[in-house]
Amino acid sequence: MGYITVESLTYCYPEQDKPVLDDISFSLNRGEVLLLLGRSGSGKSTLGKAITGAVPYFYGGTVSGKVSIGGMPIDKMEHNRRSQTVGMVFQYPEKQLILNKVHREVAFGLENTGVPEKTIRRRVFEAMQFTGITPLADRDIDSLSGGQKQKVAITSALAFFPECIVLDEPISQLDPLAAEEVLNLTRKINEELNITVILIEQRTGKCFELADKVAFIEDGRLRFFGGTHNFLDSPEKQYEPFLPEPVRLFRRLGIEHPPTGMKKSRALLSSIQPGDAPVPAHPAFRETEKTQPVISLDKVSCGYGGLTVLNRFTASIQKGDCISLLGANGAGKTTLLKTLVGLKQYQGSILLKGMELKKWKQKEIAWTIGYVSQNPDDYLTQDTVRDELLFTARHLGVEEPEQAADNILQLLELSEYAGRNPKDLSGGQKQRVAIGSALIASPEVLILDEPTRGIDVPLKQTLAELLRQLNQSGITILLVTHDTEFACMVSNRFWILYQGELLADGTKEEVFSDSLYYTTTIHKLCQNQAPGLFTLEDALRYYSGEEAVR
Amino acid sequence: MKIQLHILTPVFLLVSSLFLLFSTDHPFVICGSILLAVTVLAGGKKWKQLKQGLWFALPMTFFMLLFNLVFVSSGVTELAVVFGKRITLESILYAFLMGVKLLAATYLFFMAGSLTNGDKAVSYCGSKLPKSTLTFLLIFRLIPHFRESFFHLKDVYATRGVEFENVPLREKIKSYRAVLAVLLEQSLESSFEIGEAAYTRGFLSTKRSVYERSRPTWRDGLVLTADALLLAVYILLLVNGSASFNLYFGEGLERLSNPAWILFLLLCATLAGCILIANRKQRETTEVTWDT
Repeated sequence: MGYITVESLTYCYPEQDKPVLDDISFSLNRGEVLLLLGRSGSGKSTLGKAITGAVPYFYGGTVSGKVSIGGMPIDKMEHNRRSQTVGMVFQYPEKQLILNKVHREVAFGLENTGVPEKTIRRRVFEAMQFTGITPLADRDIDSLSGGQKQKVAITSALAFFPECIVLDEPISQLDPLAAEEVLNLTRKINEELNITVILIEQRTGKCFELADKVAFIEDGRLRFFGGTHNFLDSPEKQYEPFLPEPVRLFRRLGIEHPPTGMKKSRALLSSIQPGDAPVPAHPAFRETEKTQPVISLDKVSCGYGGLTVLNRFTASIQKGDCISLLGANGAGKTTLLKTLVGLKQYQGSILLKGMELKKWKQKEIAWTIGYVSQNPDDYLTQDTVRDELLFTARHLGVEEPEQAADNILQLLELSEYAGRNPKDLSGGQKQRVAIGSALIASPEVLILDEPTRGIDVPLKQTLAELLRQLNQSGITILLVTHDTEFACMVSNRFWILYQGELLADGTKEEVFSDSLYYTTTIHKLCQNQAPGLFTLEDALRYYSGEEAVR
Repeated sequence: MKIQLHILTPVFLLVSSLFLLFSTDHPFVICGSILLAVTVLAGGKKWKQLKQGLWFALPMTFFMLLFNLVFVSSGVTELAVVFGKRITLESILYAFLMGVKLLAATYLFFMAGSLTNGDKAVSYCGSKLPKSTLTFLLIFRLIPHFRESFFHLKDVYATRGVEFENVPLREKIKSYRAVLAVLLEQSLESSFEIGEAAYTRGFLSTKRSVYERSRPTWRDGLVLTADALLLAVYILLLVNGSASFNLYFGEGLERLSNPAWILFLLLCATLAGCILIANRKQRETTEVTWDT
């Protein structure tokens, strides 16, 4: 019998008939790392919460089956014992930290569970030492970066000296560097303290290297539970989007038992003879038109609260460009986007179609530049999807708004959902509604702020397809992303922003080829053999002559 | 200024200061309250709060002045008659006095806030009144999210063509409807998530213990003694009628020269000094450092 056992667990949220978890059973040994995979809304987080006891004791609802930890059913465990045994780290760092100072935040849970006062101080200190956040102890939480906040959340869970920690998409909101630090910390916690880890994640690239076991959930049902290598070797097509890129490459090249680490993968790849195909130039992009730029920025500076965020930023956007803007959190990416749509004051010059942006009215800018924020839920206030599009159309004064809405519904394949409440749609459909709202006035430029944040891999691929289509149809695109693979799938030009300055501007060959950090996994893997490979499609074409099917 | 007073000391200080301030309109009491709060805030280099207080009080003073000019005819010193309406010196002075009183109250709240460690307050109140503390925790955590989301959503809706500026009030209210609808929904979700995070960390699971429990020290004694002395002198002034003041009827004007008011103002300054000393001394001796 395992350390954590889940037996026939079925759960429905209050006032819902359809189970979110349906007859889930598995068993996990002490000290193992379980990687929990599945599409958005499949029930992964709910399962994690069932192990902490928040489901059903915080959420309510109806539950059947049993969850036991260390042989003790959690329904027999008192609340404070449960909290001390299983810690949880949530997706959004800012919504789980409650106090102002870091060391007090770490102590908060210990106070709650009545840990003796003398013990708390030692635990707080040791937990902070272990995770390496001691220098942050007296800092205000609001002054920390996302990655630091997530480390504080992990430290707070660790201060209990728990037996198990559930991490619910802990890196989904972080930039790659911070994400790597959090994953390294997770590995350390597991290896050194023998704490069982349940890791729920969409950005699976490096997670497989940590995991001992993998579970795959679909529509609340457990489709797979077993060793990591069994999952990687599984022939099931539906698992493929969740696999790391090198593994997907090897599988497509017909190699059984693909390794997970980069070193082993590179060694294996060097033994494969390339096919006849040359290193490809990406065919699907629209040619950039070398005419007058749509937008040109000249020494643009802006900031807030005495802080300079953009520092003499100079660049131009040509018609037909699809630019991916990369950079660490806080580099000024969102500020740049907001400045371009007229939402921030700036110094310097921004010319939109040859005229200074300051002279444009907000509505006129919206006619030329469509803006999509990070969270599609920001756009959902109306009763139906069609009304949502009409809302923007009418406010922008679009002629024949009904016709415009129908065209957008058709373009974004939303016609069948036109009468549905947008809040009832899936994450991907909501995002299409948000994009539709930005496209309703047929703008020439579309700006998207982290459209891949928190979305699952299949959705990401669908989004990439959509953006390529839009770019093909003549829309210039500027998007912010941390996902270099996604960027390579959709963009023909890349910007790297560092502390408000443009560090790099060029094609993927120019920007990623000699980059230590900002490049794709496939490029890191293949660069010794074929430096021009950046995406899975490139690599497949090169090694097998096969045209990749996404 | 390092906050080291016991959590209850600023509470007592605030309650007694507000009692002083709101029990009379006497100019010396208002001046004393301002003196106390401004000294403590300036000693703690809380320039931003001093400025904020002025930004808040100035328009309110202007509004009260306007209100008094239009609606109040009381007073004996007539300055002018406009459209048959008497404008008196007393009504103008009274509005000004109320404005300063409002400023004093604002500064006193800022002072109490600057003397309170929020985290320690949560620890202390959480062990006494856990459910109420959770409610306040949610509110305090939500306010910054609320503010941030509001401005972000306003930006998003501006890009959707919604106009917030240069439109009639009725349209403006309509413009904010969509923003507020999303904001309300997101706030409910956020409060639920914060509540869940607290729950999974054992909030309300058992009797709380307190991390770095603060105990009253001689510094609290010093501040509370100075406060009690000030209160005692004021009560004596109240009892003998010196604290009565009514600008419209000239009541109390003749007692403005009572030397006891000098003592009162000195005690206000002494209290402010005691607060600053108590905090400064504490910083030197017991500041927590976490250097590795």
